[in-house]
This record gives sequence, structure tokens and C-alpha cells, in this order.
Amino acid sequence: MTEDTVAEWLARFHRHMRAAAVLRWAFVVVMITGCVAFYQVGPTAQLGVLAVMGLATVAWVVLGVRGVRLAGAARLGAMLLEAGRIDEAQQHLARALRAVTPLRSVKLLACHQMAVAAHASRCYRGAVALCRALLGERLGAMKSMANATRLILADSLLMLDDVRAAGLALDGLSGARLSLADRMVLLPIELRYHLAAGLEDRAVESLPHKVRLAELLDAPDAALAHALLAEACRRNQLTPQGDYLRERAALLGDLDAIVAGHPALLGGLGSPPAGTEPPTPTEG
Amino acid sequence: MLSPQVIEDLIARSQPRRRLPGLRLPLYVLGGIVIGVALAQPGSFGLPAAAGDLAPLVLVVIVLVLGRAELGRHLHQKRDWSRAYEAVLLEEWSAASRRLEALLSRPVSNRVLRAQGLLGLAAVTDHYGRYDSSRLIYQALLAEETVQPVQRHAAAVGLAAAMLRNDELTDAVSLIDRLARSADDAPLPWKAQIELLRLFREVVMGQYDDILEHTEQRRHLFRDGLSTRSGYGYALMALGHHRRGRSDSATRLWHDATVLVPVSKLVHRFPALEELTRRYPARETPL
Repeated sequence: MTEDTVAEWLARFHRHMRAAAVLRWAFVVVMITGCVAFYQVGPTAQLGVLAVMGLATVAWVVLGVRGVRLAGAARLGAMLLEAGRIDEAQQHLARALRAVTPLRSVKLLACHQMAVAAHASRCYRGAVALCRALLGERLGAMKSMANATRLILADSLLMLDDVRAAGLALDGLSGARLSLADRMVLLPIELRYHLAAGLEDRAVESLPHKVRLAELLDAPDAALAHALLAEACRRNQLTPQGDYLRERAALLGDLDAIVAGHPALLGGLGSPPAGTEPPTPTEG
Repeated sequence: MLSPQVIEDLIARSQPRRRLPGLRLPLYVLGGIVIGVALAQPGSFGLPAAAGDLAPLVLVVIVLVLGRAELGRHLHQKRDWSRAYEAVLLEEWSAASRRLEALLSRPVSNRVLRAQGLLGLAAVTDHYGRYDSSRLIYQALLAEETVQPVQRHAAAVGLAAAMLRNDELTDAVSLIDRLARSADDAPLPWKAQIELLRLFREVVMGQYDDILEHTEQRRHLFRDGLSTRSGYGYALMALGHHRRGRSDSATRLWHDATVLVPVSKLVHRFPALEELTRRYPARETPL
């Protein structure tokens, strides 16, 4: 995936969203006008009105069925993404993004999943563009998707070292009712933002709660979250807590590799603190 | 509390309602015909003639109100399930038990959600040491054809652990061997869970040499597959090393275990670990 392909998809996405709106309004106008006209015209013309309304309904149903098929492609893409088959997922999602359908939800879902795919394939600029396009739309019943989209946006912006924009993306989540799964994804992103923005004091707020969330993450994310919390404690002179969290991070993953992956944030964690060797057993 | 009788009752009551196959479509068609006739000839249903004009509007309003109510009910139900599941993950056992009992005491049409709820309830009964109840839940899930692979795996692992705790060693060993044979193509967390189960079996059956032999390999597997729950694996390995007189390696393993999981939780889940608490110092938690 390149930025050019993302730009092409986005151009189509915007065009198709406009086309979907026109189609929906055209259908509503035809049906209302048809209902009103039915009572105003003579019996012969009534047949013509019914025929127009029937054609509009058939066209709507055909486009709707096509939309349902595209929704299937978008869902398949999401499943392939979860299984880590990113290239295959992109093919299905691109199909859903390229086709016209009056169902906005299909396009929105495909756009969101494409942002997930762009993020997973480290095309962060593409992920940012897709997330911003999605958040610029009226999400309606799919409002809950906005939280996940903001999380991808914030993470991608942090990967691009745009700390200020990442902060703005995270601000959009304040006040939102997040599920436990969303809070778990948010934790390492928010910690990276706080450390990058020099907000270390905020990174150690509600420390036990954050550690509890970090414990629920998979090993690589848990190791990163513990390392970030350890660094935040170190910067706040919370030495015992920092040492303990550093020790945990080292047990959960390869601490050297984690530090090497985030040298600007975690450079201070490089050397192990003194006295981390386990004590000797007591007799008896 | 959560006795086998209560669990059996919840399993039965949460079964999806049986619907007569193929009955729904004819009912819809019949309803459509009745409404169509009522609109075309309101007089034959004893309705005033104006009803024919007003009926479409009334129908639209009814559909909108019913749709809105259904959406509200669906969102409410989704929030209740999500709260119950979060309580299990956060180990808020009393809240988890209360919420899951309430949700499973009526038919649950979504089978995936029901299986997830039953697995959550099994985690609660495991925590309270009601392994006879846990066993019932896992067996019920394994007997159902519609259970998802990930849920089936969790149920099989849970059942084997419950059998080990209930001293049903022959059945447990046979089930663990079956799980181990299927682990080759399994995702890493599944492999780690099965390996933790094998380690628990070795502790229960006193096969300490096996524990010593596989320690390094298991360390890596537990770390990558179990995250902070690898502490339970380190603690069981520490017990094996301790019982073979390897106090240096037992000290290191017990220390690592207590860095990741508090001693109270380790001993609550595996009471045999109590003897390590008197011999080896644990890492204190400064949080």
C-alpha cells in the first residue's frame, strides 16, 4: 500500500459518498412525489406513477443487494486483517471501496478497515488520511467506530512524530465512554503521547489502574506499556515503582529491543537498576 | 452459591428459545395479506373508510416505534454483556457473578454471547473453588456443536484443569494428551495454555524431572504466550525445582513469578505454592 493508492481510494470514497447521498435523496423524492401524484392524476396516469415508483424500488433493491455483497467483502477483509493476512484483506477492502452503493455504512466500514490495514502495513500517512476522511463523515449509527478510528489516528501520528496532532486526536476521546478493549488499546498510545509531549506527571496518574490495564495486554504490548510506565516513574522520581515496572517489562519482553524501538522515549531505561537480583532463600 | 444445581439451572434457562422452523415466513406473508386486505377494504374489518387512508401512516409509525424499541433493547443488552465480561477480565468476581447470573437466567438467542457468558461464569466458579460447577459448564460447552473454536479450546483447557483439581487424573491426562497433540498448528497463546496445563499435571503427579528438563523452553513460551499470567507458570516451575532441591533456580523462578503476580493470587489459585512462601522471599509490590 502506498500513499498514491490511498489518495486514489479516498478520491473514490468521497465521490461515492456524495453519489450515495444523491441516490438516497432521489429515491425519497421519487417516492414522496409518486405518492402525492397518485392521488392527483387520473386512473391511466396512476399506472405510469406506479410504474415509476416500482422501477425506483427495483433499482433501490438491486443497489441494496449489491451493497450487502460489498458489506460481506468488507467483513471478510476485517477477518483477514485479524488473521494477519494484510495483502489479501486489502484486495477485498479495495473492492468494497471502489464500488458504488447507497449503503453508507458499507463504505464507512471499508474505509475504517482500510485504515487498520494501512496502519498494520506501516503506511502511517495513508492511515492518517483514511482516518481523517472517516472522522469527517457523519457516522450516525456507527459512532462507536469513531473511538477505534481516533486510536489508529493518534498512534499513526505518533509514529510520524506529530505529537501535537496526536494530542488533538486523543482529545477527541476525552469524555467518550470507552469499552475495556478500547481502554487497553489506548493505554500504550496515551503513555507514548504523554512522554513525548513532556507530560510525565499525567502518565503516572492513577498508576495502579494503568498497571492493571497493562497486565491484561498481550505480551509485546504489555512489555511496552510497562516500559513506558517505568520511564514515566523514573522521570517523576518514583524510583521504587519505576524499578518494579522495569523489572516486569524485562520479564514480559526483550527490554533492549523495546528501548531500541523507542530510543527518544525510553533512552533512560537502558541500564538495569541496582539491586534487582533476587535475594537468597531463607533457611528452614 | 454457584452450586452445580444453580449452574445446571442457568445452563438450561439460557438455552436459546426453540422456534418452529419455517413458520416465520408464512406468518409474515399471512400478516401482510391481512393488512393489505384491511387497507383495500376497511369496511370488511368493521373499520371506518378513513382507516384506509390513515393506515399507511399508522403502520409507518408503528414500525418506527417498534424498531426504535428493538434497537434500544439490543444496545441495553450489549452494554450488560460487555459489563459482565469486563468484570471477569478485571477479576471483580462478585460483580461478574451477579451480572452473569442475571444474564444467563433467561434465554440468550446469540449463541456466541451465551458461550462467552458461560466461560465467564466458569472463571467465577474456578475462582471460588467450585470446580464441580466449572466442570459442568465446560462439559456443557463441549457438548454443543455451535461453540466457536476459541471457546471450545478454552472449555477443553478449563475442563482438564478442573479434572486435575478434582483428582480425576486418568480423564485429565487423556484430555491433556489430546490437547497437546493438537497444539502443533495452534496459535502461540493456545500452545502456552496447554503447556501450563501440562506443567500443572506434572506438579500434581510429582513428575519433577520433567519440570526441570523443560524449564528454559517453557520460560520463553510462557513469556510470549501468557503475558503477565506467565507468573503462574514460573511459580509452578519454582515448586518443581524446590521439590528437587534446586533452591537457586527455585529462588529465581519464585522471584520472577511474584514480580508478575502477587503471592496471594498465586497461592489462591495453586494452594500447593504455600510451602514456597515460607522458604523463598517474594518481590514486594511498591504500587
